[in-house]
Amino acid sequence: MTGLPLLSLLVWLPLAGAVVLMFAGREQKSLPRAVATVVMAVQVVLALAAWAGFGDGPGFRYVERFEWLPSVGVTYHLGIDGLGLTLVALSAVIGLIAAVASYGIQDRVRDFYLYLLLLQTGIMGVFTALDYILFFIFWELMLVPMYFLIGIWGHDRREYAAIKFFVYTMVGSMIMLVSILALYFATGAGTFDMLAIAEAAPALPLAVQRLIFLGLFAGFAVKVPVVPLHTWLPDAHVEAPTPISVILAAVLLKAGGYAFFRISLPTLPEAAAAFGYFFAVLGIINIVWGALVALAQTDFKRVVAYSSVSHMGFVMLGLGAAALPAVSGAAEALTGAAYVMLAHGLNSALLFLLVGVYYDRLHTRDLNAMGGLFKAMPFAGTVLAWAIFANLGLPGLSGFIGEFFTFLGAYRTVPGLVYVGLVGLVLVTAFNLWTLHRVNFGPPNERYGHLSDMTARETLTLVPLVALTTLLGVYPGFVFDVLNQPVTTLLQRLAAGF
Amino acid sequence: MNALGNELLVILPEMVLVAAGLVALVWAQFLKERAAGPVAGLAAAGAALALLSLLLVPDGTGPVLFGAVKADGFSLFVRAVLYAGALVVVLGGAGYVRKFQVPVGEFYCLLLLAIAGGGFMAQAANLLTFYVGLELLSLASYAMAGLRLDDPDSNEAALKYFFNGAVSSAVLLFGLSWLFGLTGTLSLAELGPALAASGAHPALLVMAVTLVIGGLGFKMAAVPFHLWVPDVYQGAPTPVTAFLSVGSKGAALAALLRLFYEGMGPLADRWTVYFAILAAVTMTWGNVSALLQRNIKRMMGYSSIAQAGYLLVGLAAGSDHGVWAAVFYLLAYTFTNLGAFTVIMAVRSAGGGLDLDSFSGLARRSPFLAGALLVFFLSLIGFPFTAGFFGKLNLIGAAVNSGLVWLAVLTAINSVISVGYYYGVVRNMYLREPGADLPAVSLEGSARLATAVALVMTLAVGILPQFVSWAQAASLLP
Amino acid sequence: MLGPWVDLLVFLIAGLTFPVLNVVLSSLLRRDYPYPEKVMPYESGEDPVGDARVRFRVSYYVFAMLFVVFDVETVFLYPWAVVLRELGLFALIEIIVFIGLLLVGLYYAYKKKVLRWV
Repeated sequence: MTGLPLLSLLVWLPLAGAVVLMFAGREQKSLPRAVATVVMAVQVVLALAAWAGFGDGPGFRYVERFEWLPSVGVTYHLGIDGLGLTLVALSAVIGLIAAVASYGIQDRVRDFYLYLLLLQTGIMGVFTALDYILFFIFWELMLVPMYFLIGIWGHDRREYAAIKFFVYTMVGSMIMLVSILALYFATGAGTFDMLAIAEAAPALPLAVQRLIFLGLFAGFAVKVPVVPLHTWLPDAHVEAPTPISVILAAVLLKAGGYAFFRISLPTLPEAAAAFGYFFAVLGIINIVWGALVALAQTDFKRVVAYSSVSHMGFVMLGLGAAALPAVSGAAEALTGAAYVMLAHGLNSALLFLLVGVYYDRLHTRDLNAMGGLFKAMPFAGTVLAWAIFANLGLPGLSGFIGEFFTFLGAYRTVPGLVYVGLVGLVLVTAFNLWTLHRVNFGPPNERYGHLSDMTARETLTLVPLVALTTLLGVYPGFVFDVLNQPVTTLLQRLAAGF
Repeated sequence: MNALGNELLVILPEMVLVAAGLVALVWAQFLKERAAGPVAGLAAAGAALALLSLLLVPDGTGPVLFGAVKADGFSLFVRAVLYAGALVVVLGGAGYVRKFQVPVGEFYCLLLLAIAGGGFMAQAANLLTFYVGLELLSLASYAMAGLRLDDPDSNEAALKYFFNGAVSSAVLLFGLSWLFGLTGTLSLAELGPALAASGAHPALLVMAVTLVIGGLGFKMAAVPFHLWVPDVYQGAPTPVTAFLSVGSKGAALAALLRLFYEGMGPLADRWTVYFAILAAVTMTWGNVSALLQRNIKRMMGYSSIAQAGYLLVGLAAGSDHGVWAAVFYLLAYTFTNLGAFTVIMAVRSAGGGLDLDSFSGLARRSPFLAGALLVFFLSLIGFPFTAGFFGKLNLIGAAVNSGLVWLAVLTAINSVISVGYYYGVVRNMYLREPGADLPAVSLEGSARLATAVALVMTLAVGILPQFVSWAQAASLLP
Repeated sequence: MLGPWVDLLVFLIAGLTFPVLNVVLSSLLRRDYPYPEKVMPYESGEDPVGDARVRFRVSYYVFAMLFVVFDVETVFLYPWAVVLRELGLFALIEIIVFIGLLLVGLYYAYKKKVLRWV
């Protein structure tokens, strides 16, 4: 639409920044910070520009398509629809916040920002790629920088957490790669283009579809993460430095949900219908299990990590409910799932940043050692309360809308599960409020009386998130407008499969 | 005479290699202590010249020189990979040769002769050429493994390699004689039709195939013919290990492809199953054993066994796609593995040890080397943006295309297992602090060039694989 | 049906039968009268002294190897010389290359001083 290759800029600008940093001195501190911040800020501007010029109507926008390996049908194919747009915007905002929040890192600053920028390229690539090989490349590209970011700058058990994260994801993605190749050869389309394969794949025999679906599921489910495959998440989130936890929770988890949305459901609708109930059950397990385990934690960061597991359950539930043949409700379920991804991205970022704020002052994450902190840190306490309420799904804040729509849609197809999910929702509320209680309230803690409230930089990172969380809660319409189009398209594809 | 001259052009690169090797041998005797630099230069020039003279080889020449050799796309491609690999070995190993006083003339002469033998295996049009090439390669390799005369490990390596190798050569020769007995021809082109027409009992063919696979499996370091690998890889001088890991393997792969896919293509459904099993066992055994190693050369030895398993997937596929995938993977693997060995040699030459702890904090001591080794390891794992990714993609794709989904899945899972041991080195380099006693590692000019070449090739093939798309002409259709 | 293979079979059988038959026949026909000098290993009429497994100078092996190389060369040169006229110039060049390669080896051995008997 515009002459500018908007998506390519989004994807490759961080890489260019990383290359610049490669030639910077190893002991530099302010230069890497400045470069990363500028790059991330430009990304936000680009994402906003993409949003502004998005317009109505079906199909992908800002499409760029070049032959890359014509002999096997690999193309350089980028494009976003409404869902991609929201996630790209989310990634850009979180990227900028993470860059600013990382100013506190003092050790090997240049390397840190180098990996951060590489990671950003991988993230943007995953959300914009429309070619399987390209998608896979970016998917794997997220892995290596993340390994180093956790492994070098993490907390005590960083090596364990880093390799665990790496191996879990790698196992999943290798099975995914075989499935992609199976899809390529089974359809005989001679191309790795997602859209072309999506046209050809529904004609495959159902048994083949199911196998491929399960293979892809292995790759995506690890990322989401779906409950027995989730154990890397608490380790990685807890051991990672604060800004990296933010990116992990806010953006990386969304890659899994996005991949179901973009690849599994539209490409193999029949198999998706067959596994729809399975998805919904997994979603409910995620919600309940995540909440239960979160209740049992004494580590602040682990609570937030398990809260992510719980929230990603809503995404699975929404996807599963929508994939099932239904009279109605599918649109609500899908919209709800997409909305949860966005809202959780902002909420979890907020919460992890707050964990960082408290950790930097207390040097512990033990909830039992906290309590009565509101007196010393009223501003942080207020923001925490705000974040917790958003996280538990209080109407008027971002968490509510997505969860409400997911349940609303899912009730039409799987009412029994929704009742179980409602119990889970009670548990979610319980652990959120209890955490808030254990941090903020109780008798003022003598030991922590001297603590200072948030610094200007911390405020700067938190305020935009608070504002966005509120905006999403009171005016969801502007997101619905862009989500409407991909949801409708996907529903048509799913309906055609029944 | 002119026609003969044209025919001789086909083996011009090998003539260059042999000539350079002999000159190196004699010249080094004159230069004595001052030999290391100039002779290394001569060897590098010889390898480079051989690479360039491939351009003069008339492409698509059928069997020439009394039916001995053949210049098709396949042979040109494999030879290009081998000679470029030899060049990288010479450049990357020069520092090591000087530092550890490896006999200069002998080393470069044997290296060039061995690689010429590999070249003959790649272009063989009949069983005899193929066997003579193999012997040239093997004998030179045995001697090279023992070139650190004062090092008992090196002597042990040479002796082990020689005894095992002699037996396997005999087994191979016996297998070839069975093939000859069944068909009455030595020509690869006539082998397939003759076998099909002979109506020989399947058991006889099984015997021949088993013996040949046994003999060549040894060269390729495929399980269960791999027992020599760890000791020889550990004991041999590191440049020799580097050469063995790509030169021998590449030549053996080329020979297997020629013999089976070209020679016995019509009977593909009879032998692909052997290679499928061989590939599966080899990659799994290699990867799992590598997990247990503490010495980097042993680790790379087991890693190269695993890589042989990946290469065999292409043969197991038994299709054009498979052949192309195997050859492409050979290209990726050659540069990647040689790059890794160049870095290992640099660390060793700087006074570091060979256990994994010697790599602690390398990212701080020499970031370029650590970064390069990281890229090479990622490529060996098969990560995007490196040559290994498209290599694995091709191989897995070929397996899926031939209906060997289980093998494809196993290959993918093996990639994950391999993370386990490469990870140990990467962790030491990046996550651990350098010990006080570990030296800073600097690269001398030629090793820097070798690393840069390997790095550029690894990344270039990983990002723009179509720039080697001419290799697709390396089809082996009979 | 077997064609030339029959010849080979006959040759094998004959080749095996002849020595075995001779040994068996002579052991049946002769008188058996062993004494110490008679069962001693035959070494060209000399009395065997000591064990055969003694250490030789390594130079022996090198000389032996060099000898084998040139022995093989001779084996090649005889038939080549016989048919030289029919093969023409090409064969001449080839044999020069062949001898040249061997000479390089000999020269290398000379420079390495393995030919000098110290």
